[in-house]
Amino acid sequence: MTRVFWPASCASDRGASRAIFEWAVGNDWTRVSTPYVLDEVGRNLPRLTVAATSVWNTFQPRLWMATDVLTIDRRGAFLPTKDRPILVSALAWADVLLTLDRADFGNLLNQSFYGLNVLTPGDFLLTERRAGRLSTGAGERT
Amino acid sequence: MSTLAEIEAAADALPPQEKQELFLFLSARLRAEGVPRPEPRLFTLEQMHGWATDDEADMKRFHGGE
Repeated sequence: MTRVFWPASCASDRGASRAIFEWAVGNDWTRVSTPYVLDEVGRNLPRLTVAATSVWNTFQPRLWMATDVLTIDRRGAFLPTKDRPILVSALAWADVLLTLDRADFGNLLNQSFYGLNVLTPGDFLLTERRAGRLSTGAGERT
Repeated sequence: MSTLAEIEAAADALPPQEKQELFLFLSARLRAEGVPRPEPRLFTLEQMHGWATDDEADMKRFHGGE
């Protein structure tokens, strides 16, 4: 089982994030998120399109909600500030952090952060396929 | 046991369930010390459109057989 952390940036209707969502069951991927992510979605997606909100509404009931892991926000803390709530919660609960947010996570993409792999949804799919683990057959359909 | 290195070594020796409990304990302590949950980030429309575009381009790359 691979625990995949789901952030607000991954809510495309036709993209790789959608494919991961649909293929999750067939590949034994657990989709993990936290209340902080839901707050981000609630704050941002309604400004985008009705479709984006609709996509997220299909995702949300099938996310496993983990506890937010809070970290101290203080000068000298070793983690960058903006992405800290996502990064630390993902580190606690997931094997992979998906993100399309290159502004806040670009320096971590395709790297391991204390054992947490940080990948775009597309790169996650390619990695799974190259490893011979990817099944695109069974799974949920919405 | 008083240094961070010693505590980390002891924590590393715990079984997974107890590591998780320790993690939650530390998170709860941070919260008790007044660490608030930060405000959710505000993204620009340009950022969000960019994510959708990138995600769809990645899917095309995937189907393209890379």
